[in-house]
Amino acid sequence: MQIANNITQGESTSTIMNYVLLALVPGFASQVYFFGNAYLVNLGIALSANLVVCVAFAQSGNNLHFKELVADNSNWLTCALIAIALPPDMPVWVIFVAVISGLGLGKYAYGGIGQNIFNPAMVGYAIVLISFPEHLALWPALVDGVTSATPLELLKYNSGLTLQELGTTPSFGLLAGVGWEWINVAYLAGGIALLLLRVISWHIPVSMLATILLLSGIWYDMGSSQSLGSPLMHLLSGGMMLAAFFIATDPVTCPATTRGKIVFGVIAGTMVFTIRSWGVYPDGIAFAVLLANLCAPFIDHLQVENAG
Amino acid sequence: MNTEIQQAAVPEFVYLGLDGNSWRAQLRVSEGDHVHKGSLLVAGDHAVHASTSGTVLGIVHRPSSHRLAAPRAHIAIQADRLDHWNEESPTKDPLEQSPAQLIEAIRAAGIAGLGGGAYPTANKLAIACKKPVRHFVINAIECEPGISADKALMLAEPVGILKAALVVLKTLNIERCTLAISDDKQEVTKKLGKTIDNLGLSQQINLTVVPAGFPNGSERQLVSIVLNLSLPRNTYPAQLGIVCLNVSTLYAIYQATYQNKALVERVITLTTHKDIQNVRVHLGTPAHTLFAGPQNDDEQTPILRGGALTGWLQSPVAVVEKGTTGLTHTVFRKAHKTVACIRCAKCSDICPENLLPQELLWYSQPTNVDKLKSLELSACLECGLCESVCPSFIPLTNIFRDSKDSLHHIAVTKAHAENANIRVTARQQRISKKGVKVQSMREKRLKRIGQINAHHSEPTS
Repeated sequence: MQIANNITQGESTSTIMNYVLLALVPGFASQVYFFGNAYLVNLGIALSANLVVCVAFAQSGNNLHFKELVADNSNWLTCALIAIALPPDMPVWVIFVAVISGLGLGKYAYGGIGQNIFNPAMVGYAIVLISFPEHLALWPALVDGVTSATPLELLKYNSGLTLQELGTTPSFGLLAGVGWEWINVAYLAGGIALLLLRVISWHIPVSMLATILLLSGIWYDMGSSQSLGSPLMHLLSGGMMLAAFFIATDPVTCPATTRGKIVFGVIAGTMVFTIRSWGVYPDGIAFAVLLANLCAPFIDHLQVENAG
Repeated sequence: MNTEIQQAAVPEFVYLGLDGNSWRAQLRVSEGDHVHKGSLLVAGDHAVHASTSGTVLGIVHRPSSHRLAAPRAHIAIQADRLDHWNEESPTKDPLEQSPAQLIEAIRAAGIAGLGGGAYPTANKLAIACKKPVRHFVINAIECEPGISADKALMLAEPVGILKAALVVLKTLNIERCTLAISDDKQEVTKKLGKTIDNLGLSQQINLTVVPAGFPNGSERQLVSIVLNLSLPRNTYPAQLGIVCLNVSTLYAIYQATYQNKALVERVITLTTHKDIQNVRVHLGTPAHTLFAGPQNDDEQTPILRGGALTGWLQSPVAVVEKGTTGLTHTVFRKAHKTVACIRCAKCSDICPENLLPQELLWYSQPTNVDKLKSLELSACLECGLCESVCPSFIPLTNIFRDSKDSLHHIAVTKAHAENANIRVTARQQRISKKGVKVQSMREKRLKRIGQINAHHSEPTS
């Protein structure tokens, strides 16, 4: 029998997950503000999908217990992230597929909490992104109320407009895309709260955002029609802040060493910018994080070799 | 908390562990002998002395203070409750003696590191004496939460501790030493400063206040702070000529060199759910007998040996040893449920030796010898900090202790196998050599016999 020592700091893994869930609130509230109650529906569906997954896994006879599965708030966090990442007004079954594949393939196939290589939420998101592009590409426009291209898509398929001209179109606001800018600022605020609570360390967000800043600065091209977008626009578009503070910082799937975290952030940031600029998808958060996750064990390995 | 040192009663039986002794040790008593307090029982690097007067009952195997209560050999003594010291031979002034004589006196008194390590002090001094540059650091930090035995001893016996420092300076043949004390012990700092001035030792002993913090009282950490250097991993300070001795050890040196008393008692912190006391106990006292009262004096409830961070639960019948700094008999709160590691890296951020506990944990289950070696598990101080910050409540310290044990076991088994291999090969060579020799001798003899026969048969033919 192993007996733990008598002094503990008292902060448990589930408390940490609770902090992360709480820190998502401002960003999520702003999403609801801009996109309407559809996001609340998204969240409700995703969370009930988790319950279904819990029941199914508990029935599967793999020594998983319903009570433990429900009490594991990292599952709830995964579902919340999926709900946030998907566009509003999703068919119910798309969200179910995302949650079930995220938790099933992304987490429990590897042996549950602490064992997975990839971020489960991003696994779920990537699977539905590839499988159901017709649903995933439909973002409601924040300007005129009909489905339209997101600011990142407008930038990607920009034909001959300088950034300044593009900025005057109704989809763009004060800092970046209308709505998106404030959603990102809200997630930034939640992320800073996590940093102050010392739930996450600064290395990954800072190195990831700095990489984006540097790369978009290099290809800014003074805002010409060939420009790949301004640094500020890249930082405040799509799921950038959500990814930097909430997704890439998942301790299970990121390196454990300090220098490794910085390298990880650089890789994730480079991948986001590469996919956004030269890839097929307008935003590359999910694939960037998954690719960086894939590198994490090697980064750690190299760090340990160097240290030893 | 009471800072006065209480004297524990003489127990009915004392059991003196023979741990650390090898075949070189010499047993100096036999069953039925009457011994005095301080009589030599076993001579050697880990000398053992009777901690009270009484009758030697023999050698018994009983649970040690190891966390798995592994049985070890102990010499059992039935106390006569008189607690008579053996006749004190007159002592020479230790400061007149040579370093070699002093080391021998310290060895003969059975002095070992009383901060918890229980490494023979004479060996430490002998190693350091051979080095060209020598330093001496007195460890008065006592950073372990819940333990105040050193503090109580410093308040009670400052003169003895400081005089012993002179003995160590003489042994190492150096002029100055550093007495490091943490900034949370102002009362003790004042008292020691005053005593240094009264004895006129300010030239020899440099009183240094270092920040209180855990594990600053660990030998490696303290030496790094005081001498402002970074020690290579897996190197003992003594191998670099740096001697770091705990104040309790110094007081034992004082008793050995000035009063000719062997190490048979030590001050420990006894904690119950009611109070905390510092008690001078006889070595070899079974832990459960120190806790008075009907509900405490049982042989079932495990007792925490050492402090809350580095300590572990020992068998209640295990005895007070040289390395026991405190014993806690209290109702433990329910342990947190252990969940899986999420690699949050809080443990590697806090590790004072910059190890990677999350990696060590991964390679401990099951044990991966090569990986654990390359991650330098042996450098783990077992300070318990990683465990105290772990949000998954994984009992890391004990897992690492287990891993260390199994690495040790594997190394010992391997060494045994190699030795056996060497012996077998040598024997086979010996046999085959002998066989060749015998064969050639036989051939020679046969040849000679043949010649003789031929010689003899010649005339007849």
